Amino acid sequence: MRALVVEDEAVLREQIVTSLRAEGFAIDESGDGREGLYMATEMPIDIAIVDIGLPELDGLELVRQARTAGITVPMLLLTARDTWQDKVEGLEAGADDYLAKPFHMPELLARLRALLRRTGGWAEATLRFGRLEIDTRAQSVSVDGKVINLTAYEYRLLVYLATHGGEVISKATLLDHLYDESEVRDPNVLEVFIRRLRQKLDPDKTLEPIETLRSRGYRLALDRSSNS
Amino acid sequence: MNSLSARLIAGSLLVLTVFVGLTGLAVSYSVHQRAEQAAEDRLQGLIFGILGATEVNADGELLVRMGELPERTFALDSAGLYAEIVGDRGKRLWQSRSIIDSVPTVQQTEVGQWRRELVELSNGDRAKRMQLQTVWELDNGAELPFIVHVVDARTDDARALARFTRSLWAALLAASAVLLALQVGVLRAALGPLRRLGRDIDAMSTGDRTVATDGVPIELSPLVGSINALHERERQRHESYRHLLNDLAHNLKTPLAILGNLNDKRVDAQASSMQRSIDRYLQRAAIETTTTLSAPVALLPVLERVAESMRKLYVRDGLRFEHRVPADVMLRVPEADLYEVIGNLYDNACKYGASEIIVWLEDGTLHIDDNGRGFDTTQPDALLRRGMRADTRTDGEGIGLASVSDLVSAWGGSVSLGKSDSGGASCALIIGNVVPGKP
Repeated sequence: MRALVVEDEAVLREQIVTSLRAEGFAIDESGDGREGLYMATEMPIDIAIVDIGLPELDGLELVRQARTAGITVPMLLLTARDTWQDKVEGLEAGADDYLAKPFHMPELLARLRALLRRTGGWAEATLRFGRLEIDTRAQSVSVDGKVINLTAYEYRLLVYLATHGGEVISKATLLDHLYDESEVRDPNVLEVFIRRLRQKLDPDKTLEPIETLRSRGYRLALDRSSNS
Repeated sequence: MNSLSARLIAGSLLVLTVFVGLTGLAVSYSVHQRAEQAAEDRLQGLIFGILGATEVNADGELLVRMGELPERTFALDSAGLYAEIVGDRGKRLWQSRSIIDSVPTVQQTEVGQWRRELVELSNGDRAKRMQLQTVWELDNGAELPFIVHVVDARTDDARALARFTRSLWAALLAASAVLLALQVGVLRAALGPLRRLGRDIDAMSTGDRTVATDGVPIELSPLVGSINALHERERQRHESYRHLLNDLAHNLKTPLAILGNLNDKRVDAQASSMQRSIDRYLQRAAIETTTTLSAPVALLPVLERVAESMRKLYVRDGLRFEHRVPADVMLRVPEADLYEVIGNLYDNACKYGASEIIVWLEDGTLHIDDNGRGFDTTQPDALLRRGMRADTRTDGEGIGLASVSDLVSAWGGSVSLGKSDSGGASCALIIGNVVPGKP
């Protein structure tokens, strides 16, 4: 997952970025509204965290213009003003959720996970695909109840495929969403991650969770469980 | 004397008393003067008439022909009108039949001089006397000096004057009473705009933004303009203070967010404490802001905007809001407070599983019922009775409800919680300040 963080206070932005990276997000970040809008419209982000009070272009306007430009990714507003009137204005501008400052990082992460689940049509924090379960709160993956140890990149890759269950995701798209601009992208590394994921999730080749579609990309081949 | 009406009425009374008093005295004096003059003229006429009926015979004796006298009353006893001609050294030369001895003797004056006086008769009555000292030259060249005097003891004039005086003062008093009544009426009419101004200023305390300028007399227009300008300045200053306070509080929140995420428990505890203080004082500032300076807010758009936000925040199949509120209903409360109250109540309803929220207005009470899980406690109103200190509250439903209760109380209303027909929460906001009318 690739997240955009637009926050003018550098220390807070750094705290958010650090926490999101630890959570497995690829990050694009900006300290002003105009650059943030450019990133929101030009980068392949999956979610945006936008502070309302920004230089150059305020957060509400950023969200409004991004929506006008056709950007549909979930957007969460960080706001020091937490009255309902402010919240209503923020939501009407096109934000999907708000978080009042000061906040604790776990709360922000929980909100982001909830937004991403909502975007993928998931009502619960645990994504279930038959024998495969992904607990987005604990960032743990299990098959048949047995916890599988994944690296951060492997987890990000699996969650991206899971939240886009059934869709064919190209290698380029996956790279865009797994890595931020500052990271080196190598399609061969992606193939290695896919291979490792298959080995870890399906050592006896009975699950076959990830399908490769030649020259098109990858797809999570498991069906969503009905109770999810 | 603080009452303008009382001052004006007392002033009018004083002016009226002085005016009517002076008028009465002037009229009375003038009439008395005219009556005196008339009496004097009449007595002089009588004296001229007596002289006309008087002749001197060849023996030098003075004779008065009674038949030629101007008044028959001279010939009647005790008629009240007496005449006498007195010669040199007080010798009586002639007297009317009506003369009485009780008339004081006349005094000598210069020849040709009229003398008028009030004399007291022996019976105690007072009478007017007019006398003329004259000298007739006789045919033989001798001179006959004598005094003619007429005494009028008839009291008709005095009684008529007394009657006139009584009538005059009675009429003046009646006119004064009518004038005073008219004056009071005029005063009330003239002070009407001031009373209306007072009511309009009173209405400001319940939220009117300005004093109405329609129909204000031109003399009061500058005052009304000044009051409205003062009120507007006060409102802007109030807003400005509130914004400054909010800005200060909100500017502290980003540093607090940073401090709270430093992963240092001591710093986090202090940051949380600071945050609670900010929240507490912000809420107190909001609640202590009276509704005096609030413009009326249309209720329905607020309900619909908050409902739309809820649909976004709680993506849930079939989440339905039914607003049975006329579009022209307005509330005289701070707009931000109204959003806060509705936002908190809707948020609670959605948080506790409601899929249908019905809102209606009845007799100044806004009812918000939902079909969620309702309140856990059997006495939900207890949730509203928490103190003002935000830091004694725990996170969850209580904060929102207590905040709602505090805000509605600040509007002069109250909140009552209960169970809805569908088993969910029922919240009644008793708010008297509903203003029907077009937004």
